[in-house]
Amino acid sequence: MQNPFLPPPKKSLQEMTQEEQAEQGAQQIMAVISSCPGKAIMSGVSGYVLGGFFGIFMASMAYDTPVGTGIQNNPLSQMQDLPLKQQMKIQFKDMLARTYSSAKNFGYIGMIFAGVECGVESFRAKNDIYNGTIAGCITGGGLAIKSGPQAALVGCAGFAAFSSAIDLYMRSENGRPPANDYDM
Amino acid sequence: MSMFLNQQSLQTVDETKLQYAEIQYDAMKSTLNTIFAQCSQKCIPLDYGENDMNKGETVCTDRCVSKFMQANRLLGAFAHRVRLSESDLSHYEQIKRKYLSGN
Repeated sequence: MQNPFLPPPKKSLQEMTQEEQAEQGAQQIMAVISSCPGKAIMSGVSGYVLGGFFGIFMASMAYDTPVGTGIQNNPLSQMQDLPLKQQMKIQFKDMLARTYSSAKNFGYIGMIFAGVECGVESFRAKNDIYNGTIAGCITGGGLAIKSGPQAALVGCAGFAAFSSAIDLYMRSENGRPPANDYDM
Repeated sequence: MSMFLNQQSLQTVDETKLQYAEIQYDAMKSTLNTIFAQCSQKCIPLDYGENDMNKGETVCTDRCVSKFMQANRLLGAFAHRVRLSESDLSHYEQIKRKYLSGN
């Protein structure tokens, strides 16, 4: 007797009708999106875009350009002598550099955090807040590791605390299901 | 409609084969129900906020079912080898009676 616990034999692509093909395609897409690499890439891309917007906003409010003091050969006074178009070109280049660096940072944060959290959750086979805590620590520590071990520790603690706070807030609405649908 | 085209299906069913099928069905039903109960108890906590299973629950359920089936297969082979029968499991009735009587 055929083992009923096994899934039915897969039909090749030609044997399936249009609906079944669409369903198979949708299933594959959902499998890729909910896998760990898919989650990491999606999070990284959305972090990149968000970081771009954030960078544009922050660049337009930047106040750390050198203030002109009237000294000769001051780069700012030299810049102010240029025609408008070239001034704008210089400013746009600066804004683009800031935007790109901010986008890159946010993209890294998103990708690493989502990837590590998904991996830790798959490893532990549990869904609680400690996945986010561990992932936050690795993300924060990993991004700050070039500035030495103390900065890495501070980054780890800060990011883990931030991630735990957000997770606790998102889970505050979860709870047991009601005993029945009639009287709550 | 096929029962008019295929005359063979009008023959009587073999009694031993029917019993065999019933036993197999009971075994598989009990295995499946035990898998549902055990794996949902171990893997799916009663604290959730959405209707989809998340990654941890999915992975846990996969592993639980796989381990259960492996253990089921090993124990089935063992029971077949030592020719386990109902008389060997008679002590479970006593345990059940004792548990249900509230001791």
